[in-house]
Amino acid sequence: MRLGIFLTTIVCALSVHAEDTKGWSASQFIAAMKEAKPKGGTLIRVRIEQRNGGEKSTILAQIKRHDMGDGGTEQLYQITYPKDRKGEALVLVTKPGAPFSAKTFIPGKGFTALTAADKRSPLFGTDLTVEDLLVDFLDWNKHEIVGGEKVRSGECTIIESNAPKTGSFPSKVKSWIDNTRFVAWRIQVFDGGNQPAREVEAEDVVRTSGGHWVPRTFSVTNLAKGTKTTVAGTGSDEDKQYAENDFSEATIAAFAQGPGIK
Amino acid sequence: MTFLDFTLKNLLRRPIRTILTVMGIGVGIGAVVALLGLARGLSQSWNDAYKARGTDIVVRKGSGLQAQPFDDKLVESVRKTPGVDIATNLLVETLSIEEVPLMIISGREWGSYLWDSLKVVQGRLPNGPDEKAVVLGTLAAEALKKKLGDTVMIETEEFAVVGVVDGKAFVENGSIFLNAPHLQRIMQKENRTNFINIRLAKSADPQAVLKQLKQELAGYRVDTAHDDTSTNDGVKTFEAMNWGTSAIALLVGTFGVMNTMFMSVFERTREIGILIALGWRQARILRMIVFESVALCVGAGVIGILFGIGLLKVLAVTPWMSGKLEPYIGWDLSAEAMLLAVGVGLLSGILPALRCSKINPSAALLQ
Repeated sequence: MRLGIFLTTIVCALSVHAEDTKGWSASQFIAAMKEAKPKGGTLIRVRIEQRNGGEKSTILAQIKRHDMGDGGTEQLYQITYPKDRKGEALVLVTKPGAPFSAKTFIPGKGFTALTAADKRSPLFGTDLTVEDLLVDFLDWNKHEIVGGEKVRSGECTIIESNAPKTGSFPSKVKSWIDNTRFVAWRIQVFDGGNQPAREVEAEDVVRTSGGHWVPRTFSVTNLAKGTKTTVAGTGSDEDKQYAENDFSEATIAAFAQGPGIK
Repeated sequence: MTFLDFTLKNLLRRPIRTILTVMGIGVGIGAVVALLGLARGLSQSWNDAYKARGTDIVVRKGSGLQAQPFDDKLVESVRKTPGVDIATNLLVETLSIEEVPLMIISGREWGSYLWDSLKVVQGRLPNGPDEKAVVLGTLAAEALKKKLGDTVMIETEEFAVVGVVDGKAFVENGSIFLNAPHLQRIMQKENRTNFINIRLAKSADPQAVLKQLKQELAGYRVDTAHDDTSTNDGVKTFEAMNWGTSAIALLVGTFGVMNTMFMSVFERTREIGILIALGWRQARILRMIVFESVALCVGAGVIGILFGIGLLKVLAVTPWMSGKLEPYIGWDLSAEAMLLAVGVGLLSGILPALRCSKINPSAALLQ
C-alpha cells in the first residue's frame, strides 16, 4: 500500500543491522522493524508522477515528520510544485491507541478538518489516499509468515498481516520484507477479496546518511483502476530538528505565499 | 589467386553463415562502442566543463559522483597557497526541478571567475549576490521550457529567469546557475560547499601546487581537473560495469566465431588435406584459418562500430538522455573496438587453426 505504509516502513522501521533472521517469527520481524524506528525529525523530498492512461502529471512535494512528546507522530505533506498548487498540504497526527487527526490546507480556501469518512479521498489528486498514509499494518497484531521470495536484489520474507476487525478495509496486507535490510520491496493491499486491490513495489533501495535502508523509488498501482503513481525520493534529511511552530497553521499558510522572488 | 583471395573466398562459400556470424560479433562490438561511449561521455562532459571554466585543480571530499559538503571557509587557506591564482567555492546539487527529474544546480560565488566562462545568449547575469535570479544553460532552458521573465521553482523557492547562457560545455549548458548563498539556503547548507575550483598562476608548476595542496588538505581529494573525473569512483564504476556487460557480449560473440570456424574446418577437411599434400606447410594452413577468423571479425568490427555509433546518436536525442548526457564518439573508441575485434578474431581462430594444421593428409583424402 501506498505512501503511508511505505513511509511508515521507510521512515519508521528500516534500519536493523543484518542479522540471521532464520527461524524468526512474523512478530519478530515486525518488532524488529518497529524497533528500528529512528528518533527525531525527518525531511523527505519526493517527486510524484501520476499516470492515468497516456496522461502524466508531476507533483513535487516535501514530507516533514517529527515525533511529538506524547508518543504521537505528526506528518506534514506539502506541495512545492506546480506553482499554482504550491502550499497545498495535509497534516496528519497519529497517536497510539487514539483516533487519527488530520486536516488539509488549500491556499485561498484555508484548512479543512478531515473525518473518518474522508479517509479514502485522494492525496493531492493522485492514487494515494489519506487512508494509505494512516494505515499502519505494523501495529496490527495478526501477522503470519507465508513464504519467501527474492524481489529485485532483496531476499524477502513474505508476511501476511490481517486487520484486527473483520470487514475493515484494507482487510489484509502482504509485505515482502528484506531479510537483511528490513525494507519492504513489495506490499499488496487487499480490500476483502483474494486479489490485491493495490500494489506497491520498490524499484531500488538506498542507504541514507543515517544508516537506514529506504526505497528511493517506488510505484503504487491501483489494480482496479489501472492507474499508477510513481514516487521517487529526491532528497532526505534525518535527525532534523523542527521548531515548535514548523507545523503550525500560520507556518503552513505562509509557505503557500512563499518568499517570492524579491 | 593470392593467399588473401583464397581465404576470403572461403568465407563467401557459405554467405548466410558468414553474415550471421558477422552480425553476432558485430552486436558485441556495437555494445562495446555504445556502452563505453556512454561511460566516457560522462567523464568527457565534466572534463569539458572544467576546461570551459578554466579550472586547473579541483578540491572535493569523497570520490563518488556526488561530492560531500564541507566548510566553505576552507577556500581561504587554499587561496594562500603559493601558485594558486584564484580559488572559488562551488556548490553543486542535482535536484528534481519542475518537470525535469534531474538537473544540475550550480551555486557560484558572486564575482568569481566561474561566472566569466558563461556567455550570455539572452538577457543578463544576476546583477548582484542578493538578486533572487537564475540563469539557465541553453539545454536547461530548453528542458524546462523557460524563457526570460519566467520563474523557476528550486525546491521550495521561486527564482526569476534573467538570462540564458552558453557554458561552452554540455554539463554547463544543462545546468541552472545562481549565487551560492541562495542554493546554500535552499539546501540548508549554510556555509557549506562541495567543490573548490582553482585556477593556477601562469608561472606555477601544477604538480608542485598539487603536491602542496594535498599536504595541506588531508582528508580531501585534490586532483587536476582531468583526474577529478577520470579517477572519480562513480565514473570508474560506471565504466567498469559497461566493460563487464561488453565483455559478456564479446565472449558470446567469440564462441560464435569459434563455432563457425570449427564448422568451416570440419567441412573442408578433405580440401585442407589436399593443400597439405600439395606442400602447404602447417604454419600456412594455421595462418589461413586465423586470417579467415580475423577477417570475419574485422568485418564485424566495422559493422559493430557503425551500429554502436548509430545507437549512441539515437540515444543522445531520446528523452532519457537528451540534455543529460552527451555520449562520447571518438576515433580512439573506434580504434579500441577494432582492436578488440581483431583480438576476438585471433582468439576464436586459434583453436580451429591448430586442429586444422594437424590434419593427416592421407586420412583426410580418404574422407
